[in-house]
Amino acid sequence: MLRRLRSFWGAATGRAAFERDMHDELRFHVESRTADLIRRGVPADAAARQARLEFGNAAVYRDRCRDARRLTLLDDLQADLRFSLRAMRKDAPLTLTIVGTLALGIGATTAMFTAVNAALLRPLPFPDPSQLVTVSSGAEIQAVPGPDFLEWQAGCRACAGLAAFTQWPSTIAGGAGPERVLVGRVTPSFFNTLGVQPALGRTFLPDEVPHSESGIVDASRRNTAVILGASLWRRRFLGDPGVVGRTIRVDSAPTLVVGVMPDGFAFPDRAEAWVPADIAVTRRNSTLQVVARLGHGVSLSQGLAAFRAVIARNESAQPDERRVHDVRLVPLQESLVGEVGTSLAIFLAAVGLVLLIACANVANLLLAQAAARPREMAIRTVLGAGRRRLIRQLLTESLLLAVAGGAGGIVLAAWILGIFRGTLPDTVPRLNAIAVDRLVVGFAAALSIGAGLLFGLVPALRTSRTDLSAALKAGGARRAAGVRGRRIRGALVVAEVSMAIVLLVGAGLLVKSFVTLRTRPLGFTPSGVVTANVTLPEIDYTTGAQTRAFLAESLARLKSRSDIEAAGIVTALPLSRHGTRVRGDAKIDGESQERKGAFPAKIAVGGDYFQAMRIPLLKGRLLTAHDTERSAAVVVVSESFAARVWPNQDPLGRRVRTGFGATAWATVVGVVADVKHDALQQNVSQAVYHPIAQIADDRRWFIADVTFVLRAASEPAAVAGLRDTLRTLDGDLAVYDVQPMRDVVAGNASDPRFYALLMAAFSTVAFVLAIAGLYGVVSYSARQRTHEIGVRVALGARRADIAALVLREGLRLVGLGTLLGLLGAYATTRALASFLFRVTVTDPATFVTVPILLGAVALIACYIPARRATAVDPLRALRYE
Amino acid sequence: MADQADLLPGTLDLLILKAVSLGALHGYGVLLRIEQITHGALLVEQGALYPALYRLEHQGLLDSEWGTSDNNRRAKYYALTAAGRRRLREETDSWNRLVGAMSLALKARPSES
Repeated sequence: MLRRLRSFWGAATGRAAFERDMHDELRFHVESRTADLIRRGVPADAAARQARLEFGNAAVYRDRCRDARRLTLLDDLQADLRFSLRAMRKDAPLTLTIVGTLALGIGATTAMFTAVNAALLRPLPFPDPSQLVTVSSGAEIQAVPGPDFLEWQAGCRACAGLAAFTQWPSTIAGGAGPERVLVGRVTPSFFNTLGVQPALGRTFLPDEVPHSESGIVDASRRNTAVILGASLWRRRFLGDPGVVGRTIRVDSAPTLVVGVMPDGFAFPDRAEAWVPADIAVTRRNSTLQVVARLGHGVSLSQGLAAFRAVIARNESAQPDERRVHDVRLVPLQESLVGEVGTSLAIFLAAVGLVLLIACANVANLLLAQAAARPREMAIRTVLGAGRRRLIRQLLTESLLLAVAGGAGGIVLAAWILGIFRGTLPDTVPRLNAIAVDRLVVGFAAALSIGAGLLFGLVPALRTSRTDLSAALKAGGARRAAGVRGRRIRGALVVAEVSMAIVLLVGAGLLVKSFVTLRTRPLGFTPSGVVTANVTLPEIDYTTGAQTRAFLAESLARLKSRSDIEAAGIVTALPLSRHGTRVRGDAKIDGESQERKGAFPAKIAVGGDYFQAMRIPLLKGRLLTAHDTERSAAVVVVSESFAARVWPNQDPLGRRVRTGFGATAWATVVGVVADVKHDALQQNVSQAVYHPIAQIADDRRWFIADVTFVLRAASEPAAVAGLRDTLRTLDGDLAVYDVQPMRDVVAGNASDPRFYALLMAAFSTVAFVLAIAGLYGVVSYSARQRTHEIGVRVALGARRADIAALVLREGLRLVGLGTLLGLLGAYATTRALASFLFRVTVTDPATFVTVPILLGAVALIACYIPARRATAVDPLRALRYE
Repeated sequence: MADQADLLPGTLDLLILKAVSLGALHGYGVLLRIEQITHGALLVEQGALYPALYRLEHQGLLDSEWGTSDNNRRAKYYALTAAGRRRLREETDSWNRLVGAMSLALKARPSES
């Protein structure tokens, strides 16, 4: 094999030498023969002729010699390519249209595939990732309490490693000013379990793990050691390896840097630093997630059985009602991808439809072009080209087009991915891994070749089967294209229209859902409000009193500024993930037990929060600066909470108990409007608002993480004012995630927005391509029928009849495509169910609007050629033959 | 010339291998050698020799080298490779088997069947 390749390669690269040698060799033969014949007495000129005669047709043998080295393949390919390029240049607009269409389809598909590949297909960057599983409580709250984790760690024999982790942001200072970064809180076993070691330094030692009795893992509790992520290390410490062993400050606490992780390690979530986790010793709270590495060869079900055995053993030894009684094991990759997997898969399918439409369009264009070429094909056949040769020629042309389209597609994909990186919702995991790599380029290449064969084969097979005599007769070109060609093109248009309908319906549903979501009443007025977050570290603000004093002082200073209309503080900003979000049961004075179903959000506010957010007061009064730790305990409740707890009664003067007030009971003094608190999708929003000044001393953590809410004419000025004010009070505080409230709201709808935008983009492309295809086919077919139309006009047909003739053909295709498309949409839109808000998958409005829209545009697309057809001059049309 | 026979398909390769096995030859020499060892009984299309030579070389059964001919001209000489020698042996065996079987079959009489 190797030898043959070398022989082929030698002949192919030294082509001139090969030809020269071959000629010499054959001439030598003929001349030697001539000499022999002369020696035998044949006259010289007769000898030369006889030698040539005996040798036979030298040209044929030379060709067979080349064939023996497989060189003819190369010659044919070269000729095909040269010819294809010439044909492409000759019809540059068509070529550009085709290449552009393909680039669009391939580019979009490749970009989508890249995202899917990064998020779903590429294995996690850990060794032997298939053995990694998340272990969660089988109960509604999936987090695992500390004691259960410790029991599992002691007892699990099926595990090669078990680690617990959680994450929340901390303020890191050192190297540069204070900065908020996401910090993983992990057990020392974390890195070994994942199988990743630090690039510099070491992991945590057992004595670096803090322990607390409270069961509340506090952000700022005695950090002893920290491991930095590579990006943080470069950004803040300029990649200095000497940082290991230095002390920096994490939430103001002096913390020793013990290691730096390698590039690309950012687990959980997008953590940039890791500190040892504080494992609570009670089961009252649970915030931990658990990851296990199952032993070699241990299956998921064997692992599950092992965990259940540990639980059963501990339960029988020491029964505890709060113990986690059942667990769920999910492969880590699956748990990371979650619902995003479905959405990405749907979009990959959608973009695949776009590509198919693009291919159908290109096939149509090629068919139309080929229909004009039967004469050329016939002449080539007469000159000796076989059918296979013609097919190969035509396929070379379409593959060349596909490759050009694929190259354009890769460029386009890289551009789209740039946009993706900016707009993909945070919920897509491992966004940082999205890049055009070898696999992606391979995918694009396979796509181009597949597409080239797909749209090239039908025209190639059809064109090569040319009826010679018909094609060569003058005027035969038009008839030879015939009814069958028209039928194939019609079928392609029907397919295009139906696929476009499916995409348009999908986009319609998602857009409608998004609009429904965004136009829901929020309960507050986001415009003109800017928000900024501050966390008060425990090391500087040890007690609740200190924390409250700082917040009160900052509010008083902000109130005196003229550039701020209203300033407030809230512990849990609506529609964001900031602050401390608590939801739980509330006891009602006079009720013997907890009222079922009353699970309000428990929120503390300070300053003019309600005024700044413009949350309307419905009854009673708002909280004021006069509600202090020394005055009577009061709360304001939301409308839906009041309606739930005191239906048809006056809530004012009633008493509730949330567990956060300094005194047990607080009196309701006001009712405010409901606010979308957790998500735009939320329906009821029960809430109890405490004044910050009346929060219990031991609930310091509840008010340590707050958001400032400022209403001002100029947002930048308000933010500058806030920064100034806080800096004079505490120079080490980081003011982070400064965001207009509008953006906070928009961020909450970023997933639906992205889905709607993406689907709208895909379906728009599909729509344009399908209409272009329709227009092309109808106008082409009208042009082909010029002769027929001329005859009809000559026989007395009116213009309206002619227009109807052309229109009818186009609209029949559209009608059929629409019908098929609606059926297809009806069958497939249920895949979108989980992405729709208050829109059913068979939303009648969408299913009616889309065909009307498409029909209207299709009518225009058919009307233009129809109108042109009515202008046919019968005399010229008949002479056209 | 009247009693010359056409070559059976596929036998030209075998003849070339045999001819070359007796010593390196140029293309014309192969023709002469074949005429000589068959006593001119087989009709070889002279031009057809060359595609066959190129094919055998491509398959690694022959090696070629430019040299000088008897009449002092540049000529391409072919020689058998080890693989060519092996192939010649195999082909010769199978040819002999075929001929043996064929002649046995053709000698058959009604009584022996």
